[in-house]
Amino acid sequence: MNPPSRHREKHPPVPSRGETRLLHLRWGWWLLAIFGLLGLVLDSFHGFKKSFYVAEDVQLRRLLWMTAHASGVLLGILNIAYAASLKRFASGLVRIRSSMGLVAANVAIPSGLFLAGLFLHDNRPGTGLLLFSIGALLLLSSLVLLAGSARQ
Amino acid sequence: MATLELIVFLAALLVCASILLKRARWLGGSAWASMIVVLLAGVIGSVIMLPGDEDAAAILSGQQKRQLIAHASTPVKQLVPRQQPASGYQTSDRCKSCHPKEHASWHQSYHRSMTQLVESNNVLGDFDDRTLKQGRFEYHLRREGDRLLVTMPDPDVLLVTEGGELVLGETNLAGDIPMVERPVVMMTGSHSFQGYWVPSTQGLTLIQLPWIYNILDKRWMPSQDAFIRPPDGPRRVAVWNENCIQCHALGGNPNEIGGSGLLMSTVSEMGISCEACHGAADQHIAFYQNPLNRYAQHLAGGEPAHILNPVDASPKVSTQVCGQCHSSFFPRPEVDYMHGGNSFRPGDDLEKTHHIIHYGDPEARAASREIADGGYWKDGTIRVGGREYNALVMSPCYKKATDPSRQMTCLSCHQMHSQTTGARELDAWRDDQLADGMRGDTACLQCHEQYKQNAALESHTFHPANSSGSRCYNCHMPFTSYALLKGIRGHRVTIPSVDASSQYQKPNACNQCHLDQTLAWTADHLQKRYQIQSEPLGEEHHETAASILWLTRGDAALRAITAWTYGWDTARDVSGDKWIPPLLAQTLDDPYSAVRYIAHKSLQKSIPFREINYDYVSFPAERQKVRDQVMQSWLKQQNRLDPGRAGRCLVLPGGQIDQARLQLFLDERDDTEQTWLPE
Repeated sequence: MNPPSRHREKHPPVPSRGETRLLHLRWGWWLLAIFGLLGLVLDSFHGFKKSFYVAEDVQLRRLLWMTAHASGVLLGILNIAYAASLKRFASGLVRIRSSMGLVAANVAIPSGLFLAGLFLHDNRPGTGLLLFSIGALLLLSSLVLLAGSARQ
Repeated sequence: MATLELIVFLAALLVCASILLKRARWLGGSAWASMIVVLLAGVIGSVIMLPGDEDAAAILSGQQKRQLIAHASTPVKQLVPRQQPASGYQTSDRCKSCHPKEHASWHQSYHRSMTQLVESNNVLGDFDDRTLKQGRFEYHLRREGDRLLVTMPDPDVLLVTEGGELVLGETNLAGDIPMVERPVVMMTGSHSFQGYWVPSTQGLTLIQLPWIYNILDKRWMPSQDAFIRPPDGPRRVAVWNENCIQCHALGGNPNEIGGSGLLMSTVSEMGISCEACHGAADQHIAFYQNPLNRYAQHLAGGEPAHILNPVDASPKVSTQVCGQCHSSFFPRPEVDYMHGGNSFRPGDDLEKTHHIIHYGDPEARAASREIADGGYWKDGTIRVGGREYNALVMSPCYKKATDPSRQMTCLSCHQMHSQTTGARELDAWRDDQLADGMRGDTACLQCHEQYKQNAALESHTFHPANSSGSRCYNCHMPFTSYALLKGIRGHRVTIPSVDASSQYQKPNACNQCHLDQTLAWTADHLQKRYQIQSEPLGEEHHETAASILWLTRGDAALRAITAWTYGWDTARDVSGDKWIPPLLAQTLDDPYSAVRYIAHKSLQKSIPFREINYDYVSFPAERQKVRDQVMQSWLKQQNRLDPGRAGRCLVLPGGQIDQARLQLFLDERDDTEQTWLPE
């Protein structure tokens, strides 16, 4: 039996297909849980007529936060679908790249929309929208990679 | 705020970058943990950011304010009275989420746009490099991006030099007035006229640009020529914060600092919004923010809590809600208006905060004789449009009603929230906010059901049922008020009275329609048909049409209303219009600008004079030239009238105008100075 290495590896081992699958399952269910909860929070803002959410001059915030909630839930479903269909796709670099892109999009898309709604500038979205755009590009890249891999 | 946003944004970006830079194995726990951190940061940020109040306005020195005004990037908000909800007011934004339909109909109304900050899409005036001249002063109007700029005589100097009263011309002001450039920051009106306000260097005072934009005519008018003002009287430099603020904004407070005259004014909301009529909504909102209270209300029904709905209020309360602004009043001294604004809230007794001015009111006279007397007919009826409360409460339909459900209120005819959605209907509603059907007899038939039958109506009116003579308004609410260069229906419901005309020089309904008839003719008909006796009349009332006597001998208000009636299609149909042009031509040279303007408009109703080249603010010689041209042109048209009518209408058998009689009446013109309340 080899003793555990005391030196940190220069390159951590490439996650296996199973590990990637597990990672995205966890991401998926957690996203569903968190953004499902956000939906409930938004509903309560509506129910209690919180002015920062329902007032005339913050309608854009309402729209952006609702979109953040919806996109988080959809990304959760997408992650689960990704995990479920992983064995169909090519292994190796494509899998790792698409996985990383999807995970980054998991953060960037909903949080970007949320931040854009949080910091409104005279009824224009805040800087968070840039983050959303980056996340959307990453997501699209992942999807293109996956689509290409499936064709092979 | 910008720093916080940047930090949160960079944190989220860092998380994303780290995901991409690290290996996937590392990602699992930390990435979603990081995401939660970001979201938490957002929530914390929202807690810090969302309830934030605006900083209290600092009092700037004149020099500091001058620099602030001059700076192109200074937001308009910083140059107008501070908008900070106070005294329980919550502003209309908060009403919308629960009352979207009511909010939408209010948003369509001219109440909403009575006071607006300058924005790119709400300015109706022409600011495209215009130069306007008034006396020896010149005003240059221009746009710079979304900003409106006026180069003008320093308004602060004018205000200080003349104590608010300025005589434009050659003499009054000693020395030169420096020219300054000021941004236009706020506007009043969006229906007939639009007025504009520039910031003073003192406090948050706003001073009126002395030019009014006439929306219908698409032209600039000197402000003193847009209202009834004495031709040679002082020109007032109007300050918004002193009077306008109490009705043209919600919760307006002049907020004078001590007795210094420095105004650090505040409003809860610009324009006339929800809470002006419904009262402060703080308790109402707090109560209904709880969904359980909403569902309980929904199930139990009944009156909503902690808010007034004038529709459901008693006639007195409902009427007083409108009367808080639509009356002639001054704040009672005990209100301490200049330091706290008017404390009236819907549901209160209006008399506790408002001193309602009646004709000849001694208290009002002590302050201003022109306000106490000038705005009224001598029988005590208000004659200034927009002050209908004074008239309504004198009406028998209000005063003598014993059944509250049949007592007339403003809401008997008017409706503040239109149910219609069609663009044309909505536009018609916006004009005077009358409810469906209330332009006709329906308004009166709500109580006077007996006249729903044509036979009964005709036996009452002695006119065919479908004619203008059988319309309730035409006899009982004639045009006895004046505002905004037109005649307005008086809201004191009356029966036609010859005595009111002969003794108080107040126009009566019969002669407003039968422009070509004498007062004696009216007296005769009223006596025969309704057994209404009148006092004996002078000789002129047997020989000359009453409207001609009003137009020539009346005071400025009566002349303005009569000139308007000469252009009223209904009256022209009834009276014929061939004899009218020479009388209006004569009025083109009236000493009062407003009368001249209206006479020109009415003259244009006659097709031959539709295109006459006349400017009511031109020099007298030019006006007289146009007058003479119209007279000559009319003579050439060979206007033949039957002898009876011709005599009453000053037309000689040969078709000429009877200049001798006309001049006789003009010599008797009532030149009592007329300075009106704000219309």
